[in-house]
Amino acid sequence: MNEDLRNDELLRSYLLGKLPEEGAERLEARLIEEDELFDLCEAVEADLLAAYDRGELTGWEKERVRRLASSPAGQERLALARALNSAARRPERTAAPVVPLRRRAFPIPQPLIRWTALAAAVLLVAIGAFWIPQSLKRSGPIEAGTKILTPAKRTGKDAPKRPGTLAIQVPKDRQPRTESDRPPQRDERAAKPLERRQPFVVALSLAALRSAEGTENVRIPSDEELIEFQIDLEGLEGESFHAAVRSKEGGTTVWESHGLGPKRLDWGTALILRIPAHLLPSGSYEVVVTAESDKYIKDLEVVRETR
Amino acid sequence: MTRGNGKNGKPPRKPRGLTQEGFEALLAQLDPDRERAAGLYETIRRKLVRLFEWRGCEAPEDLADETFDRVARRLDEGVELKSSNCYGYFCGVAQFVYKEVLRQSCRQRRALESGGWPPPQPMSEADDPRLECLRLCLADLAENERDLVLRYHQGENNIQNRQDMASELGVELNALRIRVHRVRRKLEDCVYKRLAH
Repeated sequence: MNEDLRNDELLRSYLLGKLPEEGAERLEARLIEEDELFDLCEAVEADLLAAYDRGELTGWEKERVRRLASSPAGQERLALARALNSAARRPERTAAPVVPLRRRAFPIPQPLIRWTALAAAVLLVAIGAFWIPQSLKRSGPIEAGTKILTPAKRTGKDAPKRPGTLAIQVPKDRQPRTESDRPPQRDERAAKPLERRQPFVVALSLAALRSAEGTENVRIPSDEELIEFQIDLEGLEGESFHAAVRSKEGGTTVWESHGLGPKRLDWGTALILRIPAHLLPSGSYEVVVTAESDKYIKDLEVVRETR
Repeated sequence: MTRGNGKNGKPPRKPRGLTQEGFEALLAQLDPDRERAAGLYETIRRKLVRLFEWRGCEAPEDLADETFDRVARRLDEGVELKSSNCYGYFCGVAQFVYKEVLRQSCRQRRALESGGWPPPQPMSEADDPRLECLRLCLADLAENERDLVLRYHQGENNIQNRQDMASELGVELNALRIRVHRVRRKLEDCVYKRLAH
């Protein structure tokens, strides 16, 4: 298991009071000795406070974090988290403008850029004028089955060094690969298989499911097409789960899946339910997760709203 | 909120129940160099206070003082602190203190488990002086630090946003967390100083 993930899960569980006593004591012995782990614990606590302020935590998690913020010092930290969330939402109100987090290129004079671009264009045309006739002489006209590939758009360290278009011959029995790294645009989503679209993520906690504290309100934009429930499996062992989403109004099962396995995410282990959004119009639902002989139910109130 | 860290020339805060001689003996056991010992003392104290807070204890600073008192008494009885077990020793004593607090306050524990904590009452943004202090403190930060902490707190698509940030910086998510947290600590100190004035 990745060391970072293990520490992250441990610290989150510790702060939310989910670790057994022995585990908490062992962790505390490490926290007091390892400065970086201690810093990370404070960072995870700050993240929990910020998430609490944004209303992202489930019922019992909110209660635990409320406890963390109950001391005078805790309230100060919560107030700072609240202020940071507010400042991040309205960056125009800060005293100085916020600049996007990008590595800036070394400043180059504009005329130099223009001349360099012009020289590069001339060179490409010259190479093309020489190379294309040569390649045509060797292999004849481009055959059917040849695909013109444009390098995928990449940013940062993966940016292609030379722009341009390559024409290569592809054997007829091989499928062309036209992957792009850019996120799918809205009008392209309909053309993509369901599994490749960016889902709307909703995090739920299995402990909350067990205690069924209250109803979780979930607001989903009306134009979302895929909803992903990430159900926290912290402390629960199992290899295979059955999950279902039932409408409380009609009493019908709108979605279910058998044989679901836990998935490792960067914040912990979760059960992932990917549900087409059209199956969840506004209304009351229950999410039911069954693991061997245990059953957990969580009530949801779904509101589909325009952005 | 205690701010002394022993590193700015100010004397470390002596635990209430300890005499000055007992305190000096404790520092001497931590390190022969008094300044380094003071720094170590403040580091351990800050960590103990936080551990007690994370355990949900009331008065975590008093419990940290109690821990130091007990360690000092044991040093008087002849126990020696070795540099290799110094942190572990304090942690062990703190865990005893915590268990005693837990036993003595069963009613408090039931309240903790039943979720009887009242929600903290937030001030409206217009009235909260912290927000204005924070804005001034953000302006004092280096540009990259300000970008880092504000972008990290952007609420929309938070998990993906943080993963993207970590990739752009070429670090793991937890390393990003620690970087942001160090900037947050600078802001916390700055806001505290501005509010105090």
